[in-house]
Amino acid sequence: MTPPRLSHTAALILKTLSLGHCFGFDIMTITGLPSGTVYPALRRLERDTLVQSQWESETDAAVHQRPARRYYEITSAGKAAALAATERYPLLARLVSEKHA
Amino acid sequence: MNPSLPSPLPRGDRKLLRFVCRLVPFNQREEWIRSWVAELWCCHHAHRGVRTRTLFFGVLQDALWLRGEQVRQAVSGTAILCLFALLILISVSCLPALSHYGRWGGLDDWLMRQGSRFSCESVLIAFVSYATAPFQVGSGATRRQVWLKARLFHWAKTFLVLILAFNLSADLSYPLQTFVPLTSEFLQSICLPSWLCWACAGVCRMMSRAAGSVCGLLQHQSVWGDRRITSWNGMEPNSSAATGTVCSVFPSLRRVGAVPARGWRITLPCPLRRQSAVSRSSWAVLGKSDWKRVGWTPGGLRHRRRSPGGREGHHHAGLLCGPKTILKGPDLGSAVHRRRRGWLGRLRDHTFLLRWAREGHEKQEPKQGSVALPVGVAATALACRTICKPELLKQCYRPSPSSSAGRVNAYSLWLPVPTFRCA
Repeated sequence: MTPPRLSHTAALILKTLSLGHCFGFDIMTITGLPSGTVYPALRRLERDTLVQSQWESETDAAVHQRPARRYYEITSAGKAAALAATERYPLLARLVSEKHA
Repeated sequence: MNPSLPSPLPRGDRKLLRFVCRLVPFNQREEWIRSWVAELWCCHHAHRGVRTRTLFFGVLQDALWLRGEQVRQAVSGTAILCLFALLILISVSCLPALSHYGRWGGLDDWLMRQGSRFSCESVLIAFVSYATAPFQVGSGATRRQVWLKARLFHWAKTFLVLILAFNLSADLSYPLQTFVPLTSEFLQSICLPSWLCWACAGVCRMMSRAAGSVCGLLQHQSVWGDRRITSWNGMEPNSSAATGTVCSVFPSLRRVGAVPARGWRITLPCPLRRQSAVSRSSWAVLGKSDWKRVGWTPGGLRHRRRSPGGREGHHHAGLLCGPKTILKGPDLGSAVHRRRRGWLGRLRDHTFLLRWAREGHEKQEPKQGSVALPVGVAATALACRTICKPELLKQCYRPSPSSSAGRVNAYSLWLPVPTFRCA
């Protein structure tokens, strides 16, 4: 099955997720995308099963003294799509890693 | 809000969430609030330099997206959307006539003048459409309900498409009547051969596919090796590439549907529920989970196996590819279930009872039988016009010299009324 063609935004978010940033606010901070773009894009990716979300356990949240977070995780289909997107947008990997640095 | 948190959210944020959460569908509201509490809390405490307003649009857009997605899922593929789209098209098609007359009164008069002709032609089209529509609803508790809905939807759709065809033909032919008096006849002479060619091309395509399928089957060595085709029980999962239609006609009236690209598949009314009771057998599990992707092929052609169900027994397969395929019309295959389609394709898809089929039965792909309709309409109309020529039709087709719009008629475009089936 061919991976779906992603937009720039979706590819950037997927790339960020594949680098291990799995919280919505972190993704927004690292990519520099506005919040009105990031969160709906995450929903779309989750709908398309490129991303799956899971809740942080209450125990971990209590240890860190904060509300439980919803973490996003890239799926195998998402990894394939991210790989295809990186080939399509060669600057993507560099862009995210630079921002992260 | 969790009271055990060291510092709760600011009041403004809580109000924001309380206000915006009304946009979120009720069943997702609690989770949405929970996730956004975490995001806003992080915004305030972990990243103190960031203001809440940076997340305001995220909160709003996220809520709006969820609401929009709910609406999209609710109406996508439904008959309501199909009828709604047709109503919009009718409204748009009324605009040229309305702009010409400048008021609704003139449009009413014009429509009334065309009423007799239109009603006479509409009866023909509706009859042919209804007669050629392959209604087929599987068994189940909601069978009667789906049957009734299917017919109601069909009539409503036919009615709307007829009005749309009438409006479009009027829009096209009215401006030309001053220069070309025989506009409607001219349009008919153009459109009718086009529709006939289109319909015949579809029939030829299906015929060639069916012929290829029959040839492929007959060339299979196992058919001639031990003649297992006659004792195929129809239940062996196999994904070998074969196309066509096999009808098991004896001893039970089990139908076998066509999956053009993948192979063979049984479209029984409710075989999977019965099979799923035999959950220990491999074929039952396969049928339960992946029955849409794995073609149900006549595996008996290679490995003869009796189905564990036992009761299903042997089904004698008859090669009725040609006639059945023609009667069924073109098969859309899995095209209906693709996610991203253009609006024209989606509009076409929405003319099927996808949702009702999903609710009433297992997920089954709707079929389209639109080829039979234009052929039927054309044949009926041609027969009426050229052979029978009843007085009523002659009267209706006679141009009215007093009315400039007298030559407009709804047959000019020969729009097909797409038919559908639920199974």
